[in-house]
Amino acid sequence: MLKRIFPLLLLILTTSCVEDVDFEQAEDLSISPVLEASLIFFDFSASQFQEPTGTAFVVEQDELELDFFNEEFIQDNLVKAEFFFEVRNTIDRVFRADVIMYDVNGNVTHMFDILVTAGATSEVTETHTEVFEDALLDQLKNTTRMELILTMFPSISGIPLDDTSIGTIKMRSKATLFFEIDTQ
Amino acid sequence: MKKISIIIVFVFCCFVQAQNKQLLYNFTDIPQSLLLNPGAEVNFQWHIGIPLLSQIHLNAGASGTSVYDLFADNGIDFNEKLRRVVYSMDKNDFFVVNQQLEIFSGGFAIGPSYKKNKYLSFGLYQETDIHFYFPKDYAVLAYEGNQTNIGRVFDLSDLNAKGEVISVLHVGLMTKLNEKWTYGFRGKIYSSLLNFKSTNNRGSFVTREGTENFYDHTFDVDLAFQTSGITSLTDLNTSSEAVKELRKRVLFGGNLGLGLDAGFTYHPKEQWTITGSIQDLGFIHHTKDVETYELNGQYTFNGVNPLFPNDGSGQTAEEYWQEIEETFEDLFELDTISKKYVSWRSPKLNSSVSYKYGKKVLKECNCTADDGDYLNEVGLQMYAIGRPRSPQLALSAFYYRRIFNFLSGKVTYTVDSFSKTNVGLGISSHLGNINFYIMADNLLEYQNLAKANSASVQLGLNYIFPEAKK
Repeated sequence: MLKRIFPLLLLILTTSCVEDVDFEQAEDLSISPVLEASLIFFDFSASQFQEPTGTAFVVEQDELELDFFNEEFIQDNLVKAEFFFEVRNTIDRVFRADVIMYDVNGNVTHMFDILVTAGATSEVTETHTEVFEDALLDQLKNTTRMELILTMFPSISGIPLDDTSIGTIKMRSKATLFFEIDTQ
Repeated sequence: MKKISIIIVFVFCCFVQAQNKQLLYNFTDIPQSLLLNPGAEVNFQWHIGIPLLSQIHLNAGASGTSVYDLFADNGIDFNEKLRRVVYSMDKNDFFVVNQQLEIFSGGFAIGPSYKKNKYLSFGLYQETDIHFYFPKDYAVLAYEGNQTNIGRVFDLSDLNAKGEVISVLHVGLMTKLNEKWTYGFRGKIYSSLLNFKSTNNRGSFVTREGTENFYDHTFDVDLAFQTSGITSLTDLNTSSEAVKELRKRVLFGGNLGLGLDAGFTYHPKEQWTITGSIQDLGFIHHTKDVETYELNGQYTFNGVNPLFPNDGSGQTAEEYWQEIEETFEDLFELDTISKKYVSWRSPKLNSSVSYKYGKKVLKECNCTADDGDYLNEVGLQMYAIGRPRSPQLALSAFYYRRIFNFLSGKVTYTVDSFSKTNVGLGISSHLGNINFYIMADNLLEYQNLAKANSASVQLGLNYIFPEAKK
């Protein structure tokens, strides 16, 4: 009896197998998450731009170190990025926002600008999408510093800006980062 | 009534099996059944396990998926299969690996020579137990990102995992009180070789529509990963050194703990048996070689506000950004601390109700032997194991048959959340004094194990000197 049962058991154990399975498929692993993150924002009122002559350019600028895009993970897996800006203006002046990006040696890697018309009678909304792909994406990955210059143009009608001036200029922006993470 | 409760159990079934040894439980021909119920009614004068071969047990399972779902060679793109797996599982689906190896074991009957009603058993075994839940929200965030999940709160408590390698030195005593009652206890000393535990995580990540900017990203992080016995190994250069170090910990060399098993067998009537047991009611106190990694903090980020900040602080964007960077670094900097901790073992509960029938028909008189044993037994078994979120349960129906004096077998049908059709088969043979047993479940899936959600196998060799027949 035993002689009959053991071979049977052995048969069950040996015929049990793992069929039609290919573990090497794991090498094809590729996931493509898309992250969105807030970028720069501001909200300035007209009175903050003290311009008594009505004929001058007012230039405000600021810059920030940006080593985020140098991270190894970003370098390896970021395949596309989009910066989306929205500027809303109710000040009776034309504005231009310049974004200038620099690499570690201080060379400009990329620059772009957003021109916003005067919001005299009603609110003016300007949007801008900057797409980073291929060569431009590499430039973004080389970027370590970003400068933002906001320029207010002179008034066409020569009206100065003071504490009583009305209107605001607001900017909102976000980055959309497209990743492709694979095992290669 | 019993029927109704069984139906209820099936309807509301969320039965899960993990290291359930439904085949070995109450299989009293096998000494290792004493490990599942210290009050199991065994009838040996003495036994000794063949060192390293007396019990080999392996079990692996995944409640929400199978190897086949992910790795089937069926022409479907791997990433499509991965997507299906990620979305078909929820945060309470889990993965489990359990392995046991008996290093040595033995036992002998004690008591007055005319009535040896006690059985002392002892041994040392090694066990590996890894259990983790599917971190659903982490998987979805990694898979999709936050773009399509604005407003969704990602729950960081979805990360819940623990694992251990331990050795267990144990001594148990079974007492046959009378014809009806048998009970037993087993004391255990655990020595933890390796341990990790991350079961009390809290917090969330959410991206919401913002007021000042497009989004507010809110991080609320309270994560901890406790380890013991691992740091010192990573300092070693070769794997053979690591193995040597681990071997030292097998006997009292690791972090120590205590545990208790208790169980009983009760015959309300001659042919009826009720049993119950609890195993591994115990803990391990981790004091040596401990390292805990923690992430802690709350922060809401909505972007960088440059030029002239409205708050009048006169900060530049640079300063502002640096502050943000520092906050982020604080938030995501792993604090490594040495902190003692206690890990509770996963307690297991077993119980059964069964009925014996059919005595052997003697050829000489065409009658049954009055003093003979019943040859058949049918019954129901319930199994539960305590796990971090909720106990996992399994229900089995079984049929046991003594085929010959030297051979007995048990068939089980188990319902759990791995499977509703888990058929298991175990046999135990006694050739001379050598006892060999082998058991495996999920036999219906054996043609392709990859499709099974779980599988377990156990086998072993003992040398048994049975109690003389009265």
